Amino acid sequence: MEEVDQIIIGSLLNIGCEFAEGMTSLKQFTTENVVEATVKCLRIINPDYKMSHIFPPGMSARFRVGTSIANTCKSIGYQGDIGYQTFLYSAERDVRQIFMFLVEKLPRKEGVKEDTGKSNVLQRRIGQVLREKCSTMWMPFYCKPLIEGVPFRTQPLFIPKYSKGHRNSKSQGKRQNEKKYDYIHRQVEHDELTPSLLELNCSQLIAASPTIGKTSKQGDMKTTKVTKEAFHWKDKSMVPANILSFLQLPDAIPFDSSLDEVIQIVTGQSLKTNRSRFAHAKDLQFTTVNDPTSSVDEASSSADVAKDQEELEEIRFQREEDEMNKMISDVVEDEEKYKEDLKMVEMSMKQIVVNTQELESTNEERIKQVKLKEKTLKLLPNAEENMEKLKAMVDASSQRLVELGKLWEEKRIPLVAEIRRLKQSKTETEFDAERKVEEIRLLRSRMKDVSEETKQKDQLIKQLKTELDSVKRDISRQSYTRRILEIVASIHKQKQEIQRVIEDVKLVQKTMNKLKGRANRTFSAADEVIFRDAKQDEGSKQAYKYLVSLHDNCAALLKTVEETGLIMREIRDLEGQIDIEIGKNAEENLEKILKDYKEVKRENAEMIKKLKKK
Amino acid sequence: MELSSLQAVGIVEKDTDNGLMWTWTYPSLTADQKEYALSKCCLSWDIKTEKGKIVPFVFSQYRKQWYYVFTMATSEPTALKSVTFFSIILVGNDFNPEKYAVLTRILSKYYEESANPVRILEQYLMVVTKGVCQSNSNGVFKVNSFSSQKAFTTASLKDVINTFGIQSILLYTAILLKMKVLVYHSKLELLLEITRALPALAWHRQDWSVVYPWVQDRQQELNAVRKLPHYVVGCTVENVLTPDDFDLYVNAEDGTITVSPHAKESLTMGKLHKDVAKKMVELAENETVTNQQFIAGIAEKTTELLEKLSSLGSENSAGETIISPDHIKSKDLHPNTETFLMNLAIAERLLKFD
Repeated sequence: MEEVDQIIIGSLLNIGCEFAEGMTSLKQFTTENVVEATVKCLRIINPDYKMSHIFPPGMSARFRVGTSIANTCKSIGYQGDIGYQTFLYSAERDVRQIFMFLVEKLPRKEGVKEDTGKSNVLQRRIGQVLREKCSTMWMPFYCKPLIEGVPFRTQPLFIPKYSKGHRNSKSQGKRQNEKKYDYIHRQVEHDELTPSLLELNCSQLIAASPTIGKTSKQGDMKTTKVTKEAFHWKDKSMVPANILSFLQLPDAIPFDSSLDEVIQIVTGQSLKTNRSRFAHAKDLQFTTVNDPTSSVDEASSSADVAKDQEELEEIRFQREEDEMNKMISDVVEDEEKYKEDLKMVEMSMKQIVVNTQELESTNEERIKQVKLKEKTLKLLPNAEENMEKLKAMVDASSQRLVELGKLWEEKRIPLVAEIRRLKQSKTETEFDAERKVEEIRLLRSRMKDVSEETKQKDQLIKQLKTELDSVKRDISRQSYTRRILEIVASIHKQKQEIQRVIEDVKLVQKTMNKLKGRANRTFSAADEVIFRDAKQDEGSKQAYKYLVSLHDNCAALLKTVEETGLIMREIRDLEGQIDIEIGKNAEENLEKILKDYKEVKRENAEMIKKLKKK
Repeated sequence: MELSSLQAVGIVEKDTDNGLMWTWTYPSLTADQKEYALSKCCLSWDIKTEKGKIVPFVFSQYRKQWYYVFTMATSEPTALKSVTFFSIILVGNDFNPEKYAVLTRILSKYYEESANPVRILEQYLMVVTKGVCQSNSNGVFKVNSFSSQKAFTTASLKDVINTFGIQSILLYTAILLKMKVLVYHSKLELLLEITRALPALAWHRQDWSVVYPWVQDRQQELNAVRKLPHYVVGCTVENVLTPDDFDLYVNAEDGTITVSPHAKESLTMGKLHKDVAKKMVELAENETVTNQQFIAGIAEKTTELLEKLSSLGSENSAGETIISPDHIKSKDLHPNTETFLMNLAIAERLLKFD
């Protein structure tokens, strides 16, 4: 029975009965444990069933709870004897039976039947990932160890919309031109992007601040230059403070306030240093502007002197121009002439080409004709004779050619046939090859499919493996199988035993019948012989009487033996029943019941008392 | 000359499994010649395309030799087993489609009956040596009964001129001035008819060697054509040649004629052209005029023109008429007429330079 108990305890542990930890047998279960385990099982079997698994201390309440549990067990199909007493006064056997029934009824875990569908795999995967995620501790992103600080290094950025007239760094020059019109994330290194953007934003804020508006109002190139300079100066030292104050007090600076006011508000410093720079720049600017004007004055003063010279030169130019014109017209005339000549030359070339081609084409023919005529001339002296000869020759050659043709034909036909055959076989092999290629393609695709399937299955296996690992390995399965095997073996043994007993019984019965028959036959034979004699012989009469009485006595004896057997069987049955009853702890339970009965009575009395008091 | 004009004969067979094979040749053909002949043989065309249909008789010129290809399907009773189609290819020196059409037909009949090329060889040798061949059904084939004159006038020039109307004067001028003419028509049979008719515009030359009735988009053919000083080339595919390669583009399907930019100057029309054009259209529209009469009419006009040209020049010591550019210039003609006459003189090899 130990295996059964272990299986039951394992199952109970699985459904969350922590008290069962470390127990090995149902004997160790207390009444409370039994009730708790039963209620938990029932709850899982029937989710609608609501009952606290804590056994109440009051006796009548306990009775009620016991009855309710027993009823529920019956309602889900328990066929054995069950009542409140089963729980209140638990006998190990009953409890085991109930638990066996309940554990059987517990819904199987999914996974008994595995579906390999994709959605199932996905769900499993999701489940797995979630489980993994749950097992690791959550951390806010800023606590993750990988993030490192980035030094505040900036690069100039170029954004067409904003960068016009703006420079936030001195080192622009070439790089800007190269990277112009590129996306900002490609203009600088990854690490420098955020700082650069921040800086750009800062400088834009400054540019948009009323300082610029103010200076542009003065409408002078010089002043913008100065502000730029001032800006650079601010850029180096004051930006953070500037921006901070600007951000903190966005409305504190009126838009039409003067530059000085703004600077004062923004920087909180005196204007003195600024002013000195401003003035300095102004001075520089003015001096540079003054220089060219003075030189122009000088030039105008010397203009009068040059006037005479200019006139002279004009006349010279006129003369030169005339000469040139003449030359040009001459050249044009020449060109016309040359063109004409060129055309003529082209024409002549064309003519020559045509002539050459004509001559070439006729040349070949003429050469042939000449040769023919030469031959003819040679043959001319004996014209008649030669003609005959030639005719004969031609005929002979023709004949010979035809002969040769026939000979060739003899060779050719098998060759052509061979070619045809080879071609045929080639196309056949090609066809074969094509078919094979097709087959290969098919196989490939099938291979692909199969490999995909294998991959899927592998994944599933992996997943299931991890799942299997994650599930606590309990003894239940092993013990189940062992138990089943044992049961099967014992049943087999029992069957054999029963068979043997049956055979025994049959044998005995047979012998009995045989003996009975023989006794009867002997008796009737004896009866007949002695009865015949008894008619004549008095002694025989007596013998006959004895025989009859003997027969009757024997029959009575037999009957008695049979009855004895019956009684023996009954005794054995009763003994078995007694054993069962003893197993049920009847006495102990009775005592308990008595105790409980008294308790109930006491409770009732108390209640009545309470009621009466009220 | 006529007896030896035949150069070679070949047989191409198409098997039941679509295999194409050059099975027999006499006396011999080079690989290039064979390749050309095969390209002109309709059995080699892709059956799947629309142009894969059988064109029974095709002729074309390549490297101064004329190829005549006659194709027929075998029909029972035949000694040719496992052959569905076969072509008889004749290579000759002269242009005479009708003559060779008859000859190829006779030869093909022999071959279909006997499947023995020796029969063809016999007939071929008969034609070469005696100018006669025995047809097994239609009596005797005589080379002499097919004159080149007849071949030149068979194709209807009149119909061609009617297709293009007054534009035909461009064709006339181009042929007369030995220019490069490209003719396009998608139907091969019609293309062959049109191209072979055109040289009749310059009847006095009797020169049909300028015609390349069918040029395909093959590098060897196109290169051969590009080397020619002047030609009449037919094609069934547009844009085989670039406008730089030809002077006149004749789209026979649409009835349009286009002058290449570089030839515009030479093909400017003058008073002389108007005269000829009028006569030409007049003759073409007259239904009672036969093709021969039509050609004669145009020849007459051409002769007039040439006489006029000759009258400008002088005879040299050898009795040849010679024209120098100064002769033409001194007449103080209209510039267009002057250019035309100059070009005509060149084409007729009359112009002499000092």
